[in-house]
Amino acid sequence: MGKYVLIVDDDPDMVETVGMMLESKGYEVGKAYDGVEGETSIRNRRPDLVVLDVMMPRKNGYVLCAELKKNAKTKDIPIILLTAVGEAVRTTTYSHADGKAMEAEDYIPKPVDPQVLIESIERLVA
Amino acid sequence: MSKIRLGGIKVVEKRAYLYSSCQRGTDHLGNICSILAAGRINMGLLTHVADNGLGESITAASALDALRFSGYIAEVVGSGKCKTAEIERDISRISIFPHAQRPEITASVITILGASAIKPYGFASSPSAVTVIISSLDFGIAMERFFDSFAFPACGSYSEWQAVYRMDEQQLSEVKCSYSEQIITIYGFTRQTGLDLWNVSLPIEYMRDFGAFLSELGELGFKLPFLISSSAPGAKGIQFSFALREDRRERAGQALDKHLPGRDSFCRGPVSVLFLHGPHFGDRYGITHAFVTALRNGGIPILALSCAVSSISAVIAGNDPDKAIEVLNTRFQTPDGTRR
Repeated sequence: MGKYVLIVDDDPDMVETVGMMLESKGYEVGKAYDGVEGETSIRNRRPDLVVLDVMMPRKNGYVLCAELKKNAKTKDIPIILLTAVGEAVRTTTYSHADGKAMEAEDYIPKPVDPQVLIESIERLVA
Repeated sequence: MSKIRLGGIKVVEKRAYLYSSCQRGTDHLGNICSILAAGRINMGLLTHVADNGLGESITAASALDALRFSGYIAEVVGSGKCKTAEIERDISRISIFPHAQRPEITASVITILGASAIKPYGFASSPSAVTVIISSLDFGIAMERFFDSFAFPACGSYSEWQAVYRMDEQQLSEVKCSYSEQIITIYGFTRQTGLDLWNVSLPIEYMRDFGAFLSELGELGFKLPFLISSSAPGAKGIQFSFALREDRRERAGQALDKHLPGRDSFCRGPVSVLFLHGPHFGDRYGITHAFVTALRNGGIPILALSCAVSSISAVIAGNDPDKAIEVLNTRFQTPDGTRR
């Protein structure tokens, strides 16, 4: 069985796209569609890595990331934050710079370069 | 009866819906996309079928308010370019996901609406979701019924959903992006070949039979990669366009005859479905225009189109979508990782 990667994003097409990509690389994929659901999913089954979107209803990615990093049981789970692209997005509540300030293991601007994401996951779950 | 487990439900309320039909061969889709792009109007949903089998090209779109369509209406009404152009001013869009191309998911949505005597103005599929457009007057009852039939991990009931998600509206409305790319960045293209495109026209009261037909397709192991439908706000009929495997055409036809004997249907193949994956389709005006224009300039007719959630799904003729992807690459790029 491959490593278990949890994708947390409120865009179902994004979850589907990234999920297909990871499954084709042999990963086992879990899917959650908002921050609270992601949190529940992590409690139920500890993932080897979390791919976490920022802008989500109920609990955004930054809050969930901070909570996971504060919790002794989950702080070691690698997190990749998917952030908005600074130069392409003129107005947004969240920015790529905010992502850098987090304690996530990596941050990748959206739209995600599939190769960059795969490389990051492979590096972090190795 | 046990509920069907799904991943989630997304809702967009208080939107307008435009339905328009023209004679086959009119560049109706291009006109709508052009006007909306020129007005920098984000479009949350669009469906199109170039030929419904009855000589008509049908395009439907949903945007923030009816004023968004005023340019289009002003252009076509009275000009003879369009047979019908109708606006419904207050609709809601409900998307459930993931459908995983299972016909029985869409069948359930259709059956629920049929059993509740709710008229859908349209359906649109994305790679992950099936979206239905209904009058906002029917929204509450539709949501109740969906929560009766589907199990979503985030919320157990419609009232729970109301308490949680409506509160988030303000927060989400503050998180808006506006993109300014010369070449639009997307996640990428995927494709599915060896398909037929089916068109079925039926009175609204036969909708549940259409649902039964889709359920049977699910039992037979069919996948449903593409489905759209549209209905004029005042009409009593509805038209569905959907893609099924070409090599099982006969079996699909038998199922259709069983559930909808004597109904108008039209099938052509082979066709392919191209999927353009997001992101933020609904936040980025002009994407559909770029997509449609690129294919038109490349001489590739779009037989049917669905823009929903964050993706575009297009049906084109033949089993070789490489040329289509080549021309689309003139307007879209996938990230190269250098901006990181």
